[in-house]
Amino acid sequence: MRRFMAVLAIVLLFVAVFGVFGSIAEAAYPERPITYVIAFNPGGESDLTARAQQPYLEKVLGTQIIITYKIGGGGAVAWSEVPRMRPDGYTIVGHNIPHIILQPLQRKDTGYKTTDLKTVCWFEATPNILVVPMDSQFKTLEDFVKYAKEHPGQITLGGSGSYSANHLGTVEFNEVAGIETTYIPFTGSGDAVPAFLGGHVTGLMTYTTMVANYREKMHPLAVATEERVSIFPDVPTFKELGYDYVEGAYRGICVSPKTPDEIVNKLADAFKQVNETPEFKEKMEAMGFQMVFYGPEESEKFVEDRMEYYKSILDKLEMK
Amino acid sequence: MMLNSDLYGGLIMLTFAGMFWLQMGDFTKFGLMFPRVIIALLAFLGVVMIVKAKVKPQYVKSFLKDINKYMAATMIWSLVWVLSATYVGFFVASVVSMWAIQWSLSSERNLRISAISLAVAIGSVFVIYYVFTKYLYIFFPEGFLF
Amino acid sequence: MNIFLEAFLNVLAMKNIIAMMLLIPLGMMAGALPGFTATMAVAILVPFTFAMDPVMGLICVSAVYCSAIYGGAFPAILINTPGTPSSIATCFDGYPMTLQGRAQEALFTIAFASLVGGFIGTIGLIVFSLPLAKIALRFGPPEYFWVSIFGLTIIAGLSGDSLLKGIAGGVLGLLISTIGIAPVGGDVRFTFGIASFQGGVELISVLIGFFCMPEVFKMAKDPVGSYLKSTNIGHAAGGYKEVIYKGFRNAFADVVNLVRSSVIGLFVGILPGAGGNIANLIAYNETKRASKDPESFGKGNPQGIVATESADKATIMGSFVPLLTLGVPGSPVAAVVYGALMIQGLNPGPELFTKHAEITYTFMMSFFVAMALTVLIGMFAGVLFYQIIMRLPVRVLVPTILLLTIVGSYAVRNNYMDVIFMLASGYLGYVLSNLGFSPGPVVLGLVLGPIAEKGLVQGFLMGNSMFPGTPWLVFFTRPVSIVLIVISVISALWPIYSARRRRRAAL
Repeated sequence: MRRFMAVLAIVLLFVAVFGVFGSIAEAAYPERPITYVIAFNPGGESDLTARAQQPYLEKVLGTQIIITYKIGGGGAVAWSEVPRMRPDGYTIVGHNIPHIILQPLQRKDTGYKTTDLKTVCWFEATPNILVVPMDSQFKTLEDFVKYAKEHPGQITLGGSGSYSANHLGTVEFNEVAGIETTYIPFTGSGDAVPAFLGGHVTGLMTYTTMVANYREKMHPLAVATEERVSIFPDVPTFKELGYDYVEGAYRGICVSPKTPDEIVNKLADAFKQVNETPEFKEKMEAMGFQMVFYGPEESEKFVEDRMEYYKSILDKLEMK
Repeated sequence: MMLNSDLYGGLIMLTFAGMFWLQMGDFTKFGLMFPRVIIALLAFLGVVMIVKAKVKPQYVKSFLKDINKYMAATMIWSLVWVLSATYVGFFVASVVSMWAIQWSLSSERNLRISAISLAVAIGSVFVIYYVFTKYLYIFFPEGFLF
Repeated sequence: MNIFLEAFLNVLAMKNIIAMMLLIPLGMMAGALPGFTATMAVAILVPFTFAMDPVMGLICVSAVYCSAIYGGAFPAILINTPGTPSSIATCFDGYPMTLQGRAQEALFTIAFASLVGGFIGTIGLIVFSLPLAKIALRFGPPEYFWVSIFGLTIIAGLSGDSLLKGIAGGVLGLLISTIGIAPVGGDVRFTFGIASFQGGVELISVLIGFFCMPEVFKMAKDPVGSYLKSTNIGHAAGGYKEVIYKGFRNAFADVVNLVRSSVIGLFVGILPGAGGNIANLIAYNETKRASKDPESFGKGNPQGIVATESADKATIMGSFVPLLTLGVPGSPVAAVVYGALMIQGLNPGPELFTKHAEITYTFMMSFFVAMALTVLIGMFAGVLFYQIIMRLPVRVLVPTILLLTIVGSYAVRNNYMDVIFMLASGYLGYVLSNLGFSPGPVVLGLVLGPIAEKGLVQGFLMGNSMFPGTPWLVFFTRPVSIVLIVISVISALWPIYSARRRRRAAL
């Protein structure tokens, strides 16, 4: 009996001590290194962004940022773990629109719901851009649309993923321009490039980052943004050419749904600071990224808006 | 005892084909193309094997007899190890299982061997744990204990 | 000539050599741990290279890549477990050699084979980069489909005694590979309700399960020492000089094999999306086919491991051809390097040969040095590995291998489901191998499935737009496709042809 009481006392002591430490930890967040989980392959856009952010984040937050990967299912494997993560803010996960919206809508068991992921912020966008090879017969968007109207279904556009920004973007553009092009999904933006270079597809509906890398080989016809993009000042937007088509992927950070607001806000501020650091901004824009910022409350609304929008697009798609 | 390897092989193939077939939900036209062919092919091969099992069977020695107590202990403990790690924590599960396996496989079981086994178990798991968490930033499941 | 000499001397700077000497053993250990792949090793290295100048960083990458792939052969030979998917076929003849007491001979054989493979690969990279890249571009979705069909015809060579079981195994592998997200259409398939299956089945888990687990269980059967007993025969006979000489002789006994396998490795390596995993299998099959004694393969014929280990080294350099010439990564490791180059401000593509020529040429030349050092260190490391494994009593060896394989299969994707799957494949593999199914075909199906499906469906989409109504034409009307079809047909019919030839010879 005596032994039992002793053990019980020790156990309770441990719990008390950890409990105290736990609450202190919350007060002075961050006390330990933060793990930044990337849901996609190393070398990809999410990875590059995280590695670029890492040194600045470490300075602002005053702690080490450890980048780890949890790859699979187009991000779903990583995001399905978020609801179960400890809400202490020490694990942050990169997430993307439209993926987090489309996956639960499209699939049966993603393991998470869009609302399960508590968004800290959205910090970056990669707009869709339509490109053709340098020696292609299409020199302007008008040539492209004209040909497409005369030869429905013959133009093939490669892009990254199914039900992704590239895919939906192609569908949206088809709708708006009244044409029919065939979208060919590849597993990742990089995967589509050899097919493009080898002439196996007519063009690509891809992200601006890809074009920044392959400037000499890709001829952009138009970009799907509200205003022209700084690194491609000569590329018109679809909007100015008369097509109301604005689309792209967004990247941000999410945490476990029950994470306290102070921690979320602290993280959001940190990312905002990083985004506004001139050298960082320059580097990212040179690579083709567009830096944007939506804080925690704005993000919620943004996600809701996008959800409505994508739901309507999907309904239209179902008819195909 | 001799096992009709074609019969059992065929049954296994059919089982897999069946399992996957049941899981075919409403796939899109393109998601369906490839698996449909493969499932059909597998089922077909399964049937061919079963037919061969009657006509020109190939017998193998039953391997079930091969499983002696040492092998069984290893197989069972590896199962326990893997399944319990997420509940009791990777470290504890590994140390306990490694210790248990060494114990099962020892020819002479005395206190000395037991102590060495425990030391080996704790030592190796600790090294792995340290290298992976400190340097490679790969963290193991924790569970209740550790 | 001048550029090359200068680049070579650049590599030999003291700091680079020291870095390589430190990294190569680490890379080798990483490769030798089943589950830890070369890609992971490089991915872990890359952040550290940001603090270095680009040249040194790239040299470190080549060192780690070469040594990790080299290290993958150790467990393949010693415990029938490929340390990296590039060494799958090394198990087929490497492990039987160990069981015959010729483990040391095997380890030295691969040393020399690797050296030649690496050299041929590097020469290919330096001299033939541009033409090779152009060829790589001709491969579109239909061509990838036919490449995987060709890959599947190898099943015949890996089936052991029963072709029917081999084909069934291959189809099973293809089926399992469909678990996860469909490449076109984005459907989530066959997850059986498990969220992490959305990421598909991890190849490493199945490799470890199929190849390693059954052997571990068998080892456990006789803990007082069947493994050690059989592998210790001839252990001390003749000493090291003799064994090294045997290894050297094995590697160069069939120079045609050596060169052919290296070239196969180089070619397969340049195809983005194909790569090391299948190069070694194709090289193995070709060697078996060309041999006068194909029956001896799978029973400890050193030409088998000569083929696989020279091929998978040449693949390393091959995978950088598309990256350096076109800016397109040809393998997961190249993709990581791509990211690293981007962060360093170097744009992969033609700029690398103009603006950053010295960096690029130094990187290419570094493979010579990295490979040579890897082989040198590898010979010692191999012996060390061998001694450790041989000295350990089975009762310690078994749980240790289990620990390493569990950790390895977890570490690949940080996903515990992979560990459970590994064990499940272990049981399945045990049952199947006892029923006469070889693991090779299943693994082949698993590796080729995604490539085949992507090629099929993407090609179908292309065909739909090019030949509305008869989309299938696209698979039969392109020159490269036709060449591949012919090769595949020959490869598929070969077993019949060679069986007939043997019967005639026997008369």
